[in-house]
Amino acid sequence: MHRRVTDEDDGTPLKAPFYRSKDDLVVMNSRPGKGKKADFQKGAKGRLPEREEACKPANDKPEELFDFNMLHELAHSIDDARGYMLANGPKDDHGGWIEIGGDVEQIVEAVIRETGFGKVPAERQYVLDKILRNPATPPATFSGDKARFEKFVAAAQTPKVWDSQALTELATLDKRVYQESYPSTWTSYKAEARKRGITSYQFRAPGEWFSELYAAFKVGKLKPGHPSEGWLKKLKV
Amino acid sequence: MSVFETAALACPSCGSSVDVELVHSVNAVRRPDLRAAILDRSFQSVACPSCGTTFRVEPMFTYLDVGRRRFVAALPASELGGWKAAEARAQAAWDKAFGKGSDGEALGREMQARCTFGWLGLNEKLIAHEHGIDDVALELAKMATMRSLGDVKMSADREFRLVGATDDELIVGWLRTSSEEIDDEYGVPRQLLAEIDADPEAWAALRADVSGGMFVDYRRALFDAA
Repeated sequence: MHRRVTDEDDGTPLKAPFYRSKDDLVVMNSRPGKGKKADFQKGAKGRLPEREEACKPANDKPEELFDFNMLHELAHSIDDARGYMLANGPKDDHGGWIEIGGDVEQIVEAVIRETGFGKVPAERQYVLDKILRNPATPPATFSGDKARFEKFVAAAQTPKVWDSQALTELATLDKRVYQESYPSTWTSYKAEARKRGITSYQFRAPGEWFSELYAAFKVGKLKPGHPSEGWLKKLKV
Repeated sequence: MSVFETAALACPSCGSSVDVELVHSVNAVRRPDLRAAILDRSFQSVACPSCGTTFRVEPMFTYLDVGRRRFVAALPASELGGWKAAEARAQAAWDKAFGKGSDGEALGREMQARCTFGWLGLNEKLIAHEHGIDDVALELAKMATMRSLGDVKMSADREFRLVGATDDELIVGWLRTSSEEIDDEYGVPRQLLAEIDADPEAWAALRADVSGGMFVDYRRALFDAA
């Protein structure tokens, strides 16, 4: 064994791999913030709409984030191993998910159908640029409801839009929610699926829909007779 | 994917409110960038927009890496004094998800489950695995190294950790829990691991002291947990 700290030519101590020297770093000696799942806190409002009776949480017990998230991550492993949401995500009783990715033409078409804005090339280019976060020039003249489109795209691109029912409603076109789930990666799901949601994070992406529901099932948050109970009982890695 | 929630925290230096995306779980398969950030010690470091002080919130999250067959319950360093109770809670959470009779049992059997206290302990587990070093043998090697160093000043703010490795050496050092600064580092022949492995009987007692649960760490033998 030998002492390893040596001086280099410039006098800087030689450090081991992976070590990053820091100035003015403070490691907080406590862990502030919430330790409970926000959806199950008393008075949690505005995250989801009024749920269907069978889909309301089975109890108002606060859930530890640590335990809940352990089950959430296990669920991702189950989903990955079985390709569950790949096969079932598009079904209506699984949210009716569409993984759009970066190919956003179908969102442009939905905008046109819903607002009438975007039909002529200058309008369409503006719609496309806004969705893709490109520099966008609004058309000098237009037809259709441009303001509705702008509210839609602002909501759909808001970080954590899924945690807000009000924003989600703005991000809805013809009964489908469209959202930027991850940077430049879009998804869509049926808006009415939120009435059967158990947490708001469930509506970030198909994998999260599955994992949140699974974790809620495992901690006893789903009522007996919940519409997803049957298939959840059959899952194994 | 990996779960974060926004929390407004008071900057430990100036007291200004800072919105922090606090981590609650890391899925290293889906988010390899988070594993890399843990390894380079940038993960959960936040610069206060008011005074510029960089601070790092203590860990309290699950780290799952199914690809590497690793799970870590990353707990705050401040819970070290009560490690037995914290370890029991981590074990209970693990058992519910990956234990006998659980949906994840088959996967759990292939995985190594650990709990750590503070960023340095978590970082060490990842570095050890990166270099193919068994963590129990590592703890024994560290104990042997500390013994040979002599005049070791133990404290709750000093940790003896693996910070890297070469083909021939383990690079270990004394680091401060509060600032993550390194005081001294040492090169220890990697051969020591082979010697430990070759003589299990001689190391049996010490092995029992540093392992025996999810908290595999030399400090298990040093800190009397409530």
